[in-house]
Parts: sequence; C-alpha cells; structure tokens
Amino acid sequence: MLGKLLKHEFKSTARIFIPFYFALIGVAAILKLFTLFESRINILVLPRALFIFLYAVLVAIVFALAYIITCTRFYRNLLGDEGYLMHTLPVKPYLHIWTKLITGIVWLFASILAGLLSVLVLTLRKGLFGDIIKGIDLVFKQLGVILNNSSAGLTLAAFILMLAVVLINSFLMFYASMSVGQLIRRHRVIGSIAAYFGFSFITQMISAVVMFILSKTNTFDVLQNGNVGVINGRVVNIQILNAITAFLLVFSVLYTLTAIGYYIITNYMLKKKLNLE
Amino acid sequence: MNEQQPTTHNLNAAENAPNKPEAVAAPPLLECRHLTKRYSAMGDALSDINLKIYGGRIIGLLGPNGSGKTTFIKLVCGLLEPTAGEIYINGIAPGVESKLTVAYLPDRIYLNNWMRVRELIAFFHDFYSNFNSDKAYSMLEHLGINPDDRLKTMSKGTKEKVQLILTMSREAGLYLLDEPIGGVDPAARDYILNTILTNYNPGATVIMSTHLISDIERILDDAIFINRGKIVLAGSADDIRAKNGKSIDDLFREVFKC
Repeated sequence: MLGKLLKHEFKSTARIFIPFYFALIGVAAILKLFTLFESRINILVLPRALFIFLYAVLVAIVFALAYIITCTRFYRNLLGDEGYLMHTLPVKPYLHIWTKLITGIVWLFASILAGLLSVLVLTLRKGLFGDIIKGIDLVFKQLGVILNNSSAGLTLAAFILMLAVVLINSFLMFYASMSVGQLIRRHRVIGSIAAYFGFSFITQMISAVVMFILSKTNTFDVLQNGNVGVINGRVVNIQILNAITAFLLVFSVLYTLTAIGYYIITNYMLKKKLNLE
Repeated sequence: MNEQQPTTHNLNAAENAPNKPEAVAAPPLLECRHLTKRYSAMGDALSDINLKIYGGRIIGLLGPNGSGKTTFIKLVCGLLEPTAGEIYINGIAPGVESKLTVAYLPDRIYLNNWMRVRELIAFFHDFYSNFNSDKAYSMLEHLGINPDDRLKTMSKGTKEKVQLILTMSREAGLYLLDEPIGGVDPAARDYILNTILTNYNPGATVIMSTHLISDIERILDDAIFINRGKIVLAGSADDIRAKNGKSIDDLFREVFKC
C-alpha cells in the first residue's frame, strides 16, 4: 500500500517540480549562451541582467519548493476536499504521513541535484569535467584522512546524522502543525501557523534546558589535559572534536525525540480528530 | 411516529417475517449503538442513534439540511470519530477493512481536478481490490464521457457523474451516497437513479441521503427520517405509506414543515 501511495504522490508532485527544474536548467543554459556571445554583441546587457535575476529567483524557488509543496500537498490532499478520497482508501492513516515525508525528502534532494546541475551548465567549459573529477578525488582523499582519525570521523558522522534528523524533524513539525490547526474549524490556516509557533517555542525551551544541564557537566569542557592529535600533518585538539561531536549527538537525540513526538501528534489527529469540511 | 423511541430500528424484511431464523444469524451489515457525535456545547449533531441494517436494501436517509445525515455517513466511513456509542460494519469497527466494504460518494467534487478519467480509474483500481474497471469504462461510454479528458475540463454535472460511476463500479457491500442527485437536472436524475439501481452489487445495501424525495421514492425499500440528530421514523417504505396513508414525499413535507 505504501508503494501505491508513493507512486501516486510522486506522480502528483512531479508535474510541479519537473517544469521548474527544466526552467532552472534552461535559464542557466541561456545565461551560458549569453556569456558565449558576450564579446560580440553588446545589446544583450539588459536581457542578460534580467535572466540573471530570473535564475536567482528560480534557484530560490526550487529550494523552497520542496517545503512549499510538501505543506500544500499535506493540507490539500489530506485535510482538504481530496481528504474525502484519501481517508476513505483502505490504508492505515500513518501510511499517509510516511508517504508525504518520503516524497518531501526525495524532492528536496532532487532540488539540490537540479541546482548543482544548473551550476554545471552555467560553468560549462572545456576541461570542466576533468577538473570536477580532480576535485572529487581531492575531497575523497581528505575524507579518507579524516575517517582514519576516529575522532574527526565521528564528528563528521554526527554532523551528517544531525542534518538528516533536523531535516526530517522540520517536515514532521509542519505536518503536526497543520493537523492540529485543522481542529479549529473556521480558522484552519491561522490555527496551523499558531501551532507551528507553539511547537517552535516548545522546542526552543527544551533545547535551552538541555544546553543548560549539559553545561553543568564535563561534556563540553575543552581546556582539560590539552589532548591533541595529528590529522594530515596538522595538530588538532581532539577535545574540541569530542565536544562538538557530543553537542551534535545530543541535539540529534533531541530532534529525534521531537520528530517522534510530532509524528505521534499527527497520527493521532488524522486518526481520531479528523474534521474535513 | 415515536420521537423518544430508544429501541433499535431494524431494517430487514426477513427479520420481520416470523419463520426465517437464518436471516438473523449473520451480523448486521451496519449496526449503530447509542451513536452520538458532538461538535460543540451547542448540541449534538447526532444523538443516541440505534440502528441495524442488513444487506440487499435501498434505503433513503431523509431529513432537512443540518439534520445529521452527512455526519452519520462520515461516521460510518471512518471520517469522524464518535463522541459516544459504537458503529459496526459487518461486526467490526470502522477501519481499513470496513473502508474496503464501504463505497462513499461525498456531496462535493473530491477528486483531483488535473487527473484524466483514465488515471482516476487506474487509481481506484490500484487501491480497491473490488473495483471493476470494465464496468466503469462501459458506464462512461454510455454517457459519452471521454476517458482521456481531464476533470477540470468538464462541467460540474459531468464531474459528478464521473464520481458516481467510480463509486458504483466498486463491488462494495455498503454504498453511501450523499446527495447523489442534488445538483443535477431532472433527466440526469433519472439516469443516475437508474445507474444506481442497475449497477450496485446485488446483496449490497445502498443508503442515499437526499431531500429530493419524490424522485427517489419509487426505488426505496426502506426509509429513515432524521431530524436534529435523532431518528424520527424508520421502516420499510411500503409500511410507512400504508400506516400513514400518504406518499413518503408528502409525509416528509408534513413532518418537516418549517
């Protein structure tokens, strides 16, 4: 059932994302053409400026799109008239949450890829791919060194984990806000926004409390013993890395817990408190 | 009519016949016990509904606007949670299984506007194992609706017909149709009622909520009168006509006189 829901969800959202991706890459291509003919035709200055502006706008849109669409999809498809269709399908309500979450994340990554692709098009020149491969090789070599040193490797892993958790948490917070907002019959949108600020506030308070408690322990103490190590020929304070890793891990746990909380809230609202108009 | 009647309304001709014990053994298709739904302190949208409904009947859910018809239907579909009381569809509470048994037609356009009819049929086919695509296509052909058209290019009446076709192509146990002939011209009304009559799964029950009673009276087996969240009258259409000496339409006008 999740597969079917995902298929339908991707179909429904692709018709919005794909055109924007094409537009983004298309404008990048046009700008590239402008630079190619720049030296020969001067009257292209004004249109070129317009296209640069257009490109910037499209970049902003494409990145914001994943969030905008995920919210509007959740609202319209599950809480609007389409809710009459979705909630009478023989599927458990929590599958709807997973469907929206997975597609939101996939489109976010797709948007990043589209952005990178457009940059590639913009900077297209002879030997570009050779340079890119050299660059990737360099990054991997550095990564190898970092990962060989366990402290730094751990920090990197914790950083990636934190990013992933924050991302998932942000989507679920939107869903929870909207599913709480729909309880207020006449003012659903305002209710959603209010719920969102409410959730943000609570998260901030919990973060502050956690930080305070941790500051009272030795977790972040850095200036002890001067534990140093060597990474790639440079001397690094391992204690700092450990402190950063601890910080990242603590907040990963925190955001995971809030994400779970938002999931539970959303599921409860969709299951027990659904009120389609 | 008994306004304060706390007893369960049983709509089953077989049950009323004295010598048919086997008909009573199966669980009711739909059973409600003390079903209540409250939205606010202003009053109950539905109040203490007790009902047993069996298969093979066409039932009219009749009442003025705001009487609780849509609330009742949404509760049976699992789109609302009861404030009190219980609902059972084939003996189980509303959930994934019951959603497969129940085919619901809301009183609004609820399908994606940008989808083609063909895609909608594929969608229904994907999610409902009891959806009959062939039936859907043949009904569309009958009506001259092109399956490659997008919903948004159609008139409201045509969209409603598409929605009806999709619902009636489900081989469901219980059809819940909320105002199926509400916004439609008289000729189309006859077509829709005919479609409902000739296409629903035999052995299934159709519950239609409406206030256009004169149109549907001829096809009703049973009728439930509902007002302000309470069942005011329930029974077979023939019995009601016999006991009151008038058509159900006339009785409705009398009972719900403003």
